[in-house]
Amino acid sequence: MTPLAWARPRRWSILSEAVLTVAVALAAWPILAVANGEPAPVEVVRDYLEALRDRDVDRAESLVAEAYALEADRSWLTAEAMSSDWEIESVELKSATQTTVHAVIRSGDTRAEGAFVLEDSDDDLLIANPYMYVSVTSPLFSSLEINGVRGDVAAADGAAVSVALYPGSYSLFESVPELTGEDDLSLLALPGSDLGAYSLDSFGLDSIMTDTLTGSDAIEARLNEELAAWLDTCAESPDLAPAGCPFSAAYDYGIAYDGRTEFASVSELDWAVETYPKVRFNRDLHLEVVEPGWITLNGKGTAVFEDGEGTLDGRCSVDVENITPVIGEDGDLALALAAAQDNTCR
Amino acid sequence: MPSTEPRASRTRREGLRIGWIMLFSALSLLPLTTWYQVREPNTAVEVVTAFMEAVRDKDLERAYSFIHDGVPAGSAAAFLHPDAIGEWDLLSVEQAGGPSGIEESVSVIIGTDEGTAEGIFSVYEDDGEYTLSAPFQTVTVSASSYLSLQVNDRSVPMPLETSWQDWYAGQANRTVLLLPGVYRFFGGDPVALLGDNGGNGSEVIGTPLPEPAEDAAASLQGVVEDYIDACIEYRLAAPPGCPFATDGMVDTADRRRVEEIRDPVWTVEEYPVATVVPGTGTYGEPVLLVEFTEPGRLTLQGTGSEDWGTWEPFTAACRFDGGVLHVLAAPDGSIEVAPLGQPATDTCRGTE
Repeated sequence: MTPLAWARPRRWSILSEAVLTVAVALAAWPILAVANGEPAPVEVVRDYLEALRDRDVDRAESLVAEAYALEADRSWLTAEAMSSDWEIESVELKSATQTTVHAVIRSGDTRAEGAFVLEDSDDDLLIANPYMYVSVTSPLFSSLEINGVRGDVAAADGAAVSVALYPGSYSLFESVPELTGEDDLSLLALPGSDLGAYSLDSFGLDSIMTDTLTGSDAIEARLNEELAAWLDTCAESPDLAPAGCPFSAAYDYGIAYDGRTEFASVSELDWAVETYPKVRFNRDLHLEVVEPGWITLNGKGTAVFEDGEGTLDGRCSVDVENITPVIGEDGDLALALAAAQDNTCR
Repeated sequence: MPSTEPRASRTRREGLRIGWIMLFSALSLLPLTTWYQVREPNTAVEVVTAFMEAVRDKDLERAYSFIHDGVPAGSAAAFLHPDAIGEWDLLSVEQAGGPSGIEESVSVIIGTDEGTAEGIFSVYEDDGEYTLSAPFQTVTVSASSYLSLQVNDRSVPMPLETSWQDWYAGQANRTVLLLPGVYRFFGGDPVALLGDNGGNGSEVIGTPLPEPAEDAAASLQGVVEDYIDACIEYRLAAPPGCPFATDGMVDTADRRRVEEIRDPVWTVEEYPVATVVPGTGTYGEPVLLVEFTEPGRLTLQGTGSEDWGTWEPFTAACRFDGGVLHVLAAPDGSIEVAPLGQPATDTCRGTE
């Protein structure tokens, strides 16, 4: 008898053992796969974020559900305006729901956390809140520069404008250091940072810019320089109410008022700046007066209900409340009137 | 005989061996499935127990996995943090009434040395999986003189707002989202929050007064003086948020009453002496106020008119009034001053 003949297996037993191993492996595979793999919603969000890092707009948009896109300015939803200066730290499902995925991204020392809401459409999981928004309410900003890409934001009559941006890292007004001061104005954000639902997801540009605009001596100096130059030009005008200027001696029905007497007709008007005002931005990003400005008015005129010529002698204030500053493309400050100028001579 | 017998028994042993292998392979799958089953709680009471234990053990990831809806992120989740969770014991978890539709109610009792509290959680059932439907607690914390919000060991700073509107919008009544448990706000009395949508913002948690450290209180004078220096830059009759003002009717140094003034210029002669006093804010909340124990002195110069006709220069003495200033305690122990009180209308007439 051959030693240990029983230890030499038959062909059919080898075959059946092989089949059995494969069967066990196949049975165990789903258990292990579910325990280790990423659920589909997490994969969708991870794909989206990776597409954004690669600045692949097409791939990113293919994962977006259109139904809930807020009415917003889409000019910065381009590969040009995106930056890859951030990393994905984590993407996970936090609660039992399969439709909210939490994500954390990081850029340097800053972290931002948000929640993406997914919806099922035709068996495809798509992201219902893909963008974050920068809202521009104050007429102060007529143009924005985001990651070096400039564009106009026309706020029609005081209505807020929302600018849509892909989640990620953004630098505002990079090429205008006069506006940003020493620190960069950067934004690292994801939608859903507030309540994980279809919430506002928007950042007010005003609150982002407040500290810079109110804390900068350079901006205050420029503001006052612009104002002084504007007043100098205005004072050259011989009109009773120089067009587009923040002071006026005109009353209704063509009457002039210099603070003491009303005149039916005037001539040889001469405006002169007596004191230049000093203004600065307050925390609502309106102009506040630190030192009021005064413009004197001299001239000749015929008083109402009188005969003969008298003299005008007015000391008219500069109506700072009626001045709207506008920050243009290159960070230059322009000043304009908010509404038609009323009489400012007292 | 040696050829057939061993062959028969070899086949039989082979068969037996195959049989054992199949049996052990099948058995090896059993622990896997059992482990999986045991890991997941599968009744409403078990789910709530597992959830409360996870919260108590500060394992937030595991706690979240039992919640049905989304979990807040970002600033709303500032207090969904292990440091904010206090110490308490889970005393009992029981079924509370039968299922109504797809929801079951589970009653939970937690306790500390100081007492117990009970709450009822609704558990939503879907395909044999149970999840809690509304476990987050909402709490409204009243306005205070703290520039931070402290819940147990977690403190989140708040920015200094320098206008009443901004302060009201951002801080007057802050809503905080918490997990169930026992909480102390600013180190105060423990509050138990338990059950569906517990708290619901209805109860306003009062905040105590901060107690500034001695060196912080001493720094108040410096802070107030800096604030005043910034104020006197303004050549206005009532500079915004400042502890002095004139309403235009000024009694001048040479005993005239001026009805209207122009070009006011303020100069500090003597700074007021400031202390911190407890007081009440707009909503009856305890706040720290600035009080000037010595009113100080400033000079107002300008041109004034007694009859809106002729304008002549004048000088008048004025004093400081701290009523507009509130004291706020920053998280690092330093103090700030902000114009959150009643603005001054006239601090010139009647100055000694």
